[in-house]
Amino acid sequence: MPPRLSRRDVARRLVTPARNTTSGHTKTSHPVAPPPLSFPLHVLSRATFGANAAVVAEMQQMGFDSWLEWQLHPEAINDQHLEASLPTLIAPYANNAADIRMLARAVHSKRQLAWRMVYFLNNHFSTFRGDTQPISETVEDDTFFKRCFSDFATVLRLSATSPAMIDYLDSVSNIASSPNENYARELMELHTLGVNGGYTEGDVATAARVFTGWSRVNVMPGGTGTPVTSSYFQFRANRHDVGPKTLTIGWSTPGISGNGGYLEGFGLLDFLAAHPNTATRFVEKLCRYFVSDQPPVNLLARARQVFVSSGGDLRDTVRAIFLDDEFPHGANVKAKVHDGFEFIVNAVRRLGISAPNLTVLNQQVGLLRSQPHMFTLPTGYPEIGPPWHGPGNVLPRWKFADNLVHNLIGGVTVPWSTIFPLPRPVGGAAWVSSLLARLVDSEVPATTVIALTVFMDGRLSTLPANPTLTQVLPHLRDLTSLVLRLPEAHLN
Amino acid sequence: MQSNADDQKRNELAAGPDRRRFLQMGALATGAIGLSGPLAARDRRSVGRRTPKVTVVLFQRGGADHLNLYAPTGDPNYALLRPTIGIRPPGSPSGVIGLAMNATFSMHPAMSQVHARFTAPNSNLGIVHAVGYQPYNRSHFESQDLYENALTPGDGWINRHLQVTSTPLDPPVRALAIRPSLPLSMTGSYPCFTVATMQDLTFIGQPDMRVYLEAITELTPTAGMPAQQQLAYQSGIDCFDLIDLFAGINPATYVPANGAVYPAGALGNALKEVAETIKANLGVEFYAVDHNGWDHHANLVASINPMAQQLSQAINAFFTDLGATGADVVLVTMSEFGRIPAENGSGGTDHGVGGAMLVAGGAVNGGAVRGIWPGLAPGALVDNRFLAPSNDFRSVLREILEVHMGGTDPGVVFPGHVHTPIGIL
Repeated sequence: MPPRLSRRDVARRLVTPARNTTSGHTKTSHPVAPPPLSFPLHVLSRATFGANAAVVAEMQQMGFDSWLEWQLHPEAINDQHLEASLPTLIAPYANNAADIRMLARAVHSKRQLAWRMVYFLNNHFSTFRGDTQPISETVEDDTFFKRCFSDFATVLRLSATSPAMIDYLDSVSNIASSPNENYARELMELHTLGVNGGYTEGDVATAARVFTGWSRVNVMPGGTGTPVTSSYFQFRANRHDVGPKTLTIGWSTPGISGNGGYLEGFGLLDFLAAHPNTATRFVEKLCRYFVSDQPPVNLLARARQVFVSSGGDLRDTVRAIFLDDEFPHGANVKAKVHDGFEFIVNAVRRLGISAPNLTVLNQQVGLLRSQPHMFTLPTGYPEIGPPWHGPGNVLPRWKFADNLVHNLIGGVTVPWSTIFPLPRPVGGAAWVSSLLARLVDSEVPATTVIALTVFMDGRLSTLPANPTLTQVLPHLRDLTSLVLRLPEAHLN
Repeated sequence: MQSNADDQKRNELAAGPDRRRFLQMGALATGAIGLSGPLAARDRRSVGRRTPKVTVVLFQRGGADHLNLYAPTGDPNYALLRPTIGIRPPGSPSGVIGLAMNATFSMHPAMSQVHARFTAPNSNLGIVHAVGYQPYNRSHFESQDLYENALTPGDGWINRHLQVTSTPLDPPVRALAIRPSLPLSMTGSYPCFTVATMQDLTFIGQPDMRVYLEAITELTPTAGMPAQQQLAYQSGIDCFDLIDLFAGINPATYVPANGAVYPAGALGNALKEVAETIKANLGVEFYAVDHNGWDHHANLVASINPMAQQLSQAINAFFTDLGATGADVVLVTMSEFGRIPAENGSGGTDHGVGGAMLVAGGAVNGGAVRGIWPGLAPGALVDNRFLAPSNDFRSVLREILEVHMGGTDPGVVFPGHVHTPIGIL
């Protein structure tokens, strides 16, 4: 345990800095005032999982408009190196495969915006891998990727027919003689209309009947008890309730018998996808994710208008959000809070850790309780900041940060000499300025720059003149640990 | 972040700051927060007036099937509604056979340790059945919120109670949640705290690192910062406060008393940490812990067994560990709703209405199932499907606050609630 200090002690230490370590011969270094956050860095903070050198360079070379358009067409971006490596990284049907593959994409993919979108969709249509087949989660993410910039109705159908959703919300056992309401309720409450979206309890019960017979087939090539290596949608007509069904929200079906009975469900899904309340709710969630917890009302209205007029086109809607005049407004800058997954990936990317052990890293995400397929309730993880604040979240992040910079996370190594090529910073101020730019876009109060500079100067004063990187490194690690624990390190 | 004061500081910096400049700016930061007044008043590291009474709220997230945990096997409709998944009455030849509670109710057999406490002489473990509220809500997150804000939008019920019972001598931490984020019950204007595990409460790093991080976190003026940035600063301050206040808590070396054995898993760990912290007598009056995973739409028989066992073992270990201190501690369980009495086609149950609460410890009038039991007869079910919420959950909470915790202001904590005594305390 460190020594106990009262606030008064702390204040005194701040106003008489590093007295113990500076005995009159310390070099003075001058803190550097940061420039205001640039528009490209703001875009990258939302469109990527962390503004590393590669994406900053891409943005600089292409310019914002071209970069955005390039990212909105992920199929044209060559990510073959990463995608080809995934099957050998982990078997796609392993328990944690989907979490590890999501991590691999977030850390490494050149298709950053697309995977930001998949990350959102996976959470919007949340499934808990404890209740599903692992392969279903893997395939669901890959499918969401292929259609992440298609239209909402398509994505809704993908989710509804995904074996992961069919297992998670019990469509698999939703049968005519005894309907299971789980999927029907969350479909309307969470995936489309919203809890105040106008439907009734009776509509939930009726909608459940629409989805009776929806099932999936699990394929176990090795026989019963061996891993499920693939799973696909199946409609079981003999379990389907063929009676007429009417919802108070303006949809009905006379009932379809035979193998086409699933078309009732597709009809209801399309109706819900096109419902005005779905547009309102989905676009607001999307803007909370990409813009701020309280998106500007005019931006929301414009994005919703694009969503509606384009028939729910996700590419058009995301483009409209990023191109909106209000997107870069000051109130939206650094207005988002990382969840645990984002906190870790952002640190890894910005520290230039090029080949982290993803299995180990996924365990670290687990310690921060935010593995993408591990939220047990269908609501998904919160998309707003407050639930991610507080010591319950922050202390585990402090621990991760300190372990990361001190090489205490196996297979996850910070390449210090690479991220600080020659000529290296000289003096505390230069080290502080460099690290703050790299990790928090230099967006910290001036007093923080000063305090960290005094800290680093104090540490460097114990070294000989012109220290080598090896000599600086223990202090650089501690400084980096501090920067990753700043309040601003949680902001995005 | 772009305040005039900051701009001025940046200009000063650009002009060529030096160490003396830092001293001035440090003093600035200090002055802006004001060390002698507000800081001293809200310093959470000095322990104030302590009440020995403690309430632990255990939330069964997901909507627990109370009709299988505390099963009305004596109600003839029960077996009809649950032909395959129902608990069988004691003495049945086969099936999942319940443990007798009284003529009407049997406890799930995996809850044998809680059952032993229920049936013990002078029991202080009781059940209130058919609890809920009207108009009911069957959405997970909406109903969790309604339980945690006691049907009153805004602050949580625990937070409101802390507000109305606050005095200048309040201890630094009156409410602590052992979970990553603050539950709504503790959210509001009164400062409440959260920690994922008490094991996190240590500062990792060299002493000088702590000095600087603490100074930055606590002395940076946050007025005018965006909301999320202010919250991030408050988080940092809370981290240091908790680290100091709970410096003596060390779950890694803690040995439960009286041979108590907590079950493996999050709930057991959380209650063990709560017990250790209660014994340290630092003034914490409310704890919140979660038990996740009660949403059993399918395969209920297999799924609920380990959950019920974990719940039972954890509660038993908790009170075994507390020993005599348990006389000052009441634990209450709640869940966002009960489940539909009729089983569905998946061997599970869908979201229902009336549920149940377990209340244990302190001077609880145990050994009985309390409250009005509406029964499962077709005419008794709400909307022909749901167990009636005959007993308002707020009545249970109100008895805990008024009888066990020494009083509250029900008009603020439970506005509009018409109290019907349950007699659990």
